[in-house]
Amino acid sequence: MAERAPGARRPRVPAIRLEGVTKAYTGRVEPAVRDLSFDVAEGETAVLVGPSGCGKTTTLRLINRLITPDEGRIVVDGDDVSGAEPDALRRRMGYVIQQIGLFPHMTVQENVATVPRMLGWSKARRGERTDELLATVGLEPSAFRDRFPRELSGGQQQRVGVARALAADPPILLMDEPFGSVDPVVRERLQDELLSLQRRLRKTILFVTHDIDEAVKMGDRIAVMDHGGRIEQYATPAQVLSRPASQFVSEFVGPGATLKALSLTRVGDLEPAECPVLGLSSDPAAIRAAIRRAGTEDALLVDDAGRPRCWVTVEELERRFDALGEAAIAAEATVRRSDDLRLALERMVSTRAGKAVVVDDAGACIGVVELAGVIAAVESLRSHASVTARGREVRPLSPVSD
Amino acid sequence: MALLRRLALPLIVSGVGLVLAVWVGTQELDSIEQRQLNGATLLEKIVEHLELAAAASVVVVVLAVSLGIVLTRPGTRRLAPAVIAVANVGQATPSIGFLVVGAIVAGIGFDRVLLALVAYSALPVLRNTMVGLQQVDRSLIEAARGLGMSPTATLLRVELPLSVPVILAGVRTALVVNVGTATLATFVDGGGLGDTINSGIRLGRDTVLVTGAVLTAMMALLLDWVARGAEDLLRPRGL
Repeated sequence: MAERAPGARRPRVPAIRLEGVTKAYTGRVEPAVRDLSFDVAEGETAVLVGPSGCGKTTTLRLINRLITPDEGRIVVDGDDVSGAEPDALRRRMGYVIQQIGLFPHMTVQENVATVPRMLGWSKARRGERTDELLATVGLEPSAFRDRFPRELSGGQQQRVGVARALAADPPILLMDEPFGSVDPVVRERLQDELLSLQRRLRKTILFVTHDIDEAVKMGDRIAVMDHGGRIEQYATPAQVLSRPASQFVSEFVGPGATLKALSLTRVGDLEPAECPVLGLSSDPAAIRAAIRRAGTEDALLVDDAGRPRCWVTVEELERRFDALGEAAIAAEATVRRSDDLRLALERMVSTRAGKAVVVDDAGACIGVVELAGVIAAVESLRSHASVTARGREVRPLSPVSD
Repeated sequence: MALLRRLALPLIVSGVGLVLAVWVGTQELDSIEQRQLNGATLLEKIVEHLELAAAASVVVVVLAVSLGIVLTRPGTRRLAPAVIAVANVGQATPSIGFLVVGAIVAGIGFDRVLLALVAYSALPVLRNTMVGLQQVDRSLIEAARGLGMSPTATLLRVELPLSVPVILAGVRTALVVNVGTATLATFVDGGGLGDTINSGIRLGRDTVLVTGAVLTAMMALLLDWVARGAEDLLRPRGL
């Protein structure tokens, strides 16, 4: 997710660019952000992550001109925002806030159609667009269209909030802790849905959170911010996790950075482990021969549909060759190619076999992964990141190749 | 049951009206009482009274709601304490004093009474408008502005609709206050049921006095009931 496929190298066009932006609130000595510069490339998700009060929200509000910078320049799609009419500018940028901010006196449909209505769309077109968007965010239009916000759960409200931000198809989305007010289970699901939505829509997203796990999961790039809006590191999630640029970053990432990095790699990227796979009704002698040939400790037995059933070792074959199914360890740990390594590791260590079977959508075995493969992946992630990490990385101001 | 509860007040008020009519009907009225307590005169007084109260309330709503909006806008917010202080003086001053001083300064008649009534009842509407607008969740305004709503659109489509219940509660108070205070209009030749009550007092005719007072009370209760119905109708759905 975070690392682009090698073939996808293309010039970055910054959709959002901040140059030396400083903003101090009246009555405060320390500016909320000081001399802040970074780019967000078109179609990318950049995450601003940092402790509360570090200026993340201020940065978002500066970009859509809810507040104006004291110094510096903000460029959106090539235009300096200080010259733009603020209301028109904001209609080009979807905005999702933590408190969701659905208008309680308007129906879901009216909420979603807020921006289209301002843009003067016809009623019919607004209705169509609302239904389309509700379906996109996973809400049945006919059931939700005419409800009021208080009749929705927190997760449903948040979905409507996202739909509202997407209503006029803005190229840029600003999301301020959009999943901060829902419970962890719902948050996880909303994150996954936003990721899959983003794979289709390819919006430029600037996402604010204080949760490093969420940042690693959602971001193509992460900007770790310290107080005063100082960017300590702006890099890919893999780089931030494996090569923190400063003491602050490594403290903010916290212990378990390697485990977090596991969520960046998919099972499908792992080197598959050597393992004989045989039918459940195979002759014990054939199984023994296959194990010996592969040089492994055990073999995986699958049923007629190819679904994994159990692991058997040579000793077990000798002891209980008459009742293989009961003697063996059930092959319950399964993963899909699209699962991340964190999940794979979890599955592996939860079974005595210490490995996980990779299955396709039908549940049929397509391979086996084991701990050694995960370790190798972590090593390669670390060495790869060390090549590209350059200490405290500040993005250059001109478009660069990835 | 709900309907009965809703209709309880007008039913009781009608009952009181009926009792009043029967009671007056059984009295032997002398010529002075007859001059006051005939249908045409009473109707004229009632209409005058309603006109005063209604006109004052309309003026108050227009003035105080606009003022309340202005005093909650970012640029002019700091004027709020001063204006609230003036409005407080308006309400704290005894209304009869207001009327009389007003009459001395500006003369007598319908318009002067109106002025006094407005000064006296502006505060509840002004204060409720400001409170109503201030209690709108800041994040809703942030969301509205962030989506590209202009300040005016935010006011008209988000802030005011969400303040309607609180503002209307203030209007209801003002309406009732105005019906009561309008009885004092008689002292500056403003007409209304105050004429009836005052005649009753001055001429020592209790029947006249009671009739005027009870009619005023009935009017206040009925108007309050109507205003409460309007509140229910105008409250935005979804709240």
